[in-house]
Amino acid sequence: MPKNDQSVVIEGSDGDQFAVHTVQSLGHGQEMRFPDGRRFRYARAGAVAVVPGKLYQAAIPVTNHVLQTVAAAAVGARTVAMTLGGTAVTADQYRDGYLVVDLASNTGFGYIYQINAHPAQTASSTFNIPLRSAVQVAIATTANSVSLVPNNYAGVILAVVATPTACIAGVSVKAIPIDNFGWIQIAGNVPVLCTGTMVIGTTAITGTTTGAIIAESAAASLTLPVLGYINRVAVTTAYSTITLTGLE
Amino acid sequence: MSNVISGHEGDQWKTHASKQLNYGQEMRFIDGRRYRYAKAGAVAVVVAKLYQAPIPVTNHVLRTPSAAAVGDRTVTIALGATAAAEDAYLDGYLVVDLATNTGFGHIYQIANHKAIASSGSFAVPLRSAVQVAISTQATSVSLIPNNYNGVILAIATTPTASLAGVAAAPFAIGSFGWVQVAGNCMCLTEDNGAVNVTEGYQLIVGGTTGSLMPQATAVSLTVPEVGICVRAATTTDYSTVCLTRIE
Repeated sequence: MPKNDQSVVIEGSDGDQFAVHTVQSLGHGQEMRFPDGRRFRYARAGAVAVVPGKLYQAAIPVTNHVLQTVAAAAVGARTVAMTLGGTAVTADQYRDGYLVVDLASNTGFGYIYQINAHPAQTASSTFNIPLRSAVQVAIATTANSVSLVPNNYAGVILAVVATPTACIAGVSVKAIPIDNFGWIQIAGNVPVLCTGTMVIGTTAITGTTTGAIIAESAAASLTLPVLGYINRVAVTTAYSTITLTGLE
Repeated sequence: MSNVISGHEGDQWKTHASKQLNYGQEMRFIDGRRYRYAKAGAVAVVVAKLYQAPIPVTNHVLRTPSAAAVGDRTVTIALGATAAAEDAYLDGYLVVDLATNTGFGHIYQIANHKAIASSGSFAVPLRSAVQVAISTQATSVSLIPNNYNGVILAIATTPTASLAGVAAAPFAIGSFGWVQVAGNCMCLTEDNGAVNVTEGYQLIVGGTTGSLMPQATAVSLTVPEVGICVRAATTTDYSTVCLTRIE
């Protein structure tokens, strides 16, 4: 039985969201909560430095790391050996991320396992993936049935315009250099780049400019998640204050 | 003392033959995954499918109560022709849902209770005192089970109760385990006509029992959004989904 021993949420206060670390000090996705409802998650900047006031998304799943073939893993195993495709894995690229068995034809389908710290791995090699828990149902050698999914906050990138390519992570509140660590806001009031006409009190979605938001109105709204509500309208290409409600 | 359990990877797979926690007890992981403690309904829970709350029982809603004064800790209602199993409403709610009853608009949580026969008189034990007197107004009071007391596979396309979440592990009929309500999980997904399951797209209740599909058609207007696709699997396989809208 899990214990009600200590909270997994950091109780922060204004100013804490601006802290930046050169080395990882918390788990990717660690939550920090303010009394006014603002919430943040601990993130690593991807290949481009993070800038404040823009919308960010998770790293895009790597084609050569999804739908790969694994060696058999028995119930209780703490590692799963995967044959990578032709793309190398950097050290800790999948730390705090997930190994998922996503084809129904594999006996272990439907399970998601969190990944521990790991070394770099060369392209097309065998990756012994360290899990944080034991395999629950035996994983078979079914071809192309297992994928690696990075933690949503490991290597965030600007949200891709109009058609997202990964889960939205949140809005940046401070500049974070490449591969450094800081906080991405996921709930509460935050200024974010907007384009087009915004209307106070209405909903916003991913915009047509990289890292921006737009008012929800077009057919795209059906496929794109609502991010939050407009709280104060800025002129187009400036920074409106929105209340993030739709990210979690 | 926090109402939330701080859990760790692996805790989400624990199941119990007997009830260890309240229905709906929350367990939270560092990476944003959150779970609620649930009981399997009449069919065993299977991994990575979407579940909903039990459907309210027709003969247990809009019933006629006896008068209850401010401060009372029980409210007696006359059940219709369906028995209530022991603890069927434990951690659930008594609601006064007709505006014509003086006690309208209040919701009271229900404590543990014995089995009640069909058409019997049910002295519903409350966890708190009645706040505004409840009158004998006919067909004005309902019993609502806790959302996690007897979860069932989410009904395709048109849900028949509030969504509960995605099963993290299998658990047997009448036993107890964890249903995920936030963060990354795996769930059965299917394409939706013109729109395929795609990373970054919003997902709603699917056209197959227990599944999710991309939001694309008019049904989206009435069906709740569930989450965002993190990694898309081929249709009828298991995608990685970030649950964002269940609570």
